[in-house]
Amino acid sequence: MAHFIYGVATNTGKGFFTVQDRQKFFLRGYPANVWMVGNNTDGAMWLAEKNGVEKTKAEAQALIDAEVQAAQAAWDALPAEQKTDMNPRPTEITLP
Amino acid sequence: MSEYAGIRGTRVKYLASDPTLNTSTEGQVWYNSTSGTLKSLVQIKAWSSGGNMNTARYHIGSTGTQTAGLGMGGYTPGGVNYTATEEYSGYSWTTSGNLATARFSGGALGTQTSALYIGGVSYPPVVYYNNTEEYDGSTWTAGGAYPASASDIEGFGIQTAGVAVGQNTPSNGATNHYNGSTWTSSNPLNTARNAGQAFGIQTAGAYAGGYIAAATNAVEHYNGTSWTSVTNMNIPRYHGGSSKETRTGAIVFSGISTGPSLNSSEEYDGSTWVSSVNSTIARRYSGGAGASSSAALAFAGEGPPTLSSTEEYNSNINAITQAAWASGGTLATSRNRIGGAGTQTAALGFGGSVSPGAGEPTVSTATEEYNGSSWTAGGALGTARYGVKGCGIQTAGLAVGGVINPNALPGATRDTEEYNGSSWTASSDTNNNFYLDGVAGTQTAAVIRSALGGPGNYTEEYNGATWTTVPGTIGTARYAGSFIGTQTAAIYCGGEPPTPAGFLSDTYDGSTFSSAPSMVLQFKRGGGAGSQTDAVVFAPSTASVATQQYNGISWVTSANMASQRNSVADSPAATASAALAAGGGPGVKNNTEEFTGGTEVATASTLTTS
Repeated sequence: MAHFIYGVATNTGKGFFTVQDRQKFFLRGYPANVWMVGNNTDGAMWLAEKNGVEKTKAEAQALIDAEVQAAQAAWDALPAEQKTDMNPRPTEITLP
Repeated sequence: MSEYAGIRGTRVKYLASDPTLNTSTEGQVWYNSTSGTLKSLVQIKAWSSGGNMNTARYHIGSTGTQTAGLGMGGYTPGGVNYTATEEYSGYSWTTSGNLATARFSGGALGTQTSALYIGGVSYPPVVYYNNTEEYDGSTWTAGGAYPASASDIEGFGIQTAGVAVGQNTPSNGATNHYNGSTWTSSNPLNTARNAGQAFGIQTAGAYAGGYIAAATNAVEHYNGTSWTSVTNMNIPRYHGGSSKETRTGAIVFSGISTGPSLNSSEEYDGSTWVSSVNSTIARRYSGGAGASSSAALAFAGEGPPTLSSTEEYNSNINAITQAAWASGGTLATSRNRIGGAGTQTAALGFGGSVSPGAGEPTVSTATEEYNGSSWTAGGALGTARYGVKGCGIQTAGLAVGGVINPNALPGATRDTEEYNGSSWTASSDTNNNFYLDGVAGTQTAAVIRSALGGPGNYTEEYNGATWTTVPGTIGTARYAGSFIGTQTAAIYCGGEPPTPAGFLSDTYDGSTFSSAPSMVLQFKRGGGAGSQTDAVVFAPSTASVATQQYNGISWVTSANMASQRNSVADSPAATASAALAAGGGPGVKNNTEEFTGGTEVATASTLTTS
């Protein structure tokens, strides 16, 4: 069984995920409103209650890639003086 | 194998019951011989979602606390520089006065009602600023010019004793003090750098991490005069966030080390850094706020993408149960603008309009009694009316005012009736007309107030036999608010007209009204329960699901009801943690919702081997 469930859900703010949620199951947010939740009843119920749309890992990764690539394009468009080591180009994110 | 005694220098206690659970017990391990379990009291640390900002941005300035945070300025790709300021209530962000100059990566310090924003940069073209702006809780005004035009400054302290430290152009550790009007230089950081995380007060500050050709984990302490190098953080980071107000209980989070944005966090007790739990969303260039490592805030920043999200960090020994509304029994007769009295488990619902709409309501005399699960018929009111309000308990209730004839104004009745647990008995009339005006107290010691039908500002007290108009007037005359508490210690909440009265609350001590903190949301014609210092209100006439709670210091929003409703039968004799809402509108409703307040209880964990 896969360790994680992937899905897309809009972060509605306060109460979207609670301290109790964080104690009950693994949860991590990624670009493009992608959420990775622990593959257990609590995690699955959370995603369903948030009107989340479950994605395969590949689909979730594609959404993240598109968001990161957009951020990289924005960074690439910066003038040279803004492209400092201190302001690094957004890097690829790989789902575990 | 390691043994507990070898690690802690003491044996595990053998106890028949759990010890008193408080901060002094935190970290202890004991064996509960009654339950046969090994137990401990541990800190619960977690990040949870907060309200989203109205404007997503990064390189945002930030200060304040978890329940009174402040974010200002910022940047989004495409050359958008922001003046926007937002205030966080612990629940949601509200826009406030704009900065005069749009910029980002400036320093910020102070509180939500007394802050500074220092320096910064805008693009395109790249322009660095030496502006200082002072915030008073609503408006930014010019302050003393900063000694350098620079960005990546960090601030800590308060508006009249502030410290700004570190800057780029070029990178250095310049340190300057602000006294409320001008800047003076102090000694710089030992290691020149910028974009670190700063916190504390002017005489006991800290600067953690930063950037010197790469992220550093170096930490320095400030004593008001000079900096001293102390224990490094575990993870190098810059452009992260931190709590703000103290260095002896701080947390740093987010930022950049190498590679993607960070979601790690570290707590600091003034001498030692300890890794804490990861936030859910990795971010850099984010805002940070918080009074301490027990309650902090991370918001905005870049993931990517540019973020509007907020996360709240909490660390305590208490198990937190959120407040919630649950469904209750169903009224036999659906009614709007229904009166209520009693508690969540022994309530009354009486009178009301049994036809929907505001045209020509059919008024009711029906009374129903609630036992915590179901409604049963009680004695009928002597006078059919809607918009009647009540107080007291199920066996000693009071019904006051309301409207008999909706087609004639004033159609309000001055009738007062007393309920003995089975039937209503007429008592003396009020001296003025009251309609949907909250009444506080008991059957023998009640108080009601309003300004219905004109500019009056009427307060009347009931002694179990007669109503007496008392001289106490409220600061802003209004009507249709909720009155919660006793005849000598009550709070009047909201009211009409909606602006600004809908946000107001005033306490009453039996003779005098005094201004109390503003509510979070406008409120009128709703239900309520509790006391002057522990109140809950709900179901305002705007038919909202919103619930607000008052703790004697401030109003906050609480759990939403399951369905929008207004003008309900409430439970004015109930506590703020066990309230009731039955019937009401829009239209005519017959369902009931029961409110259970949230709790924070120190809770021991059972240790297992799994």
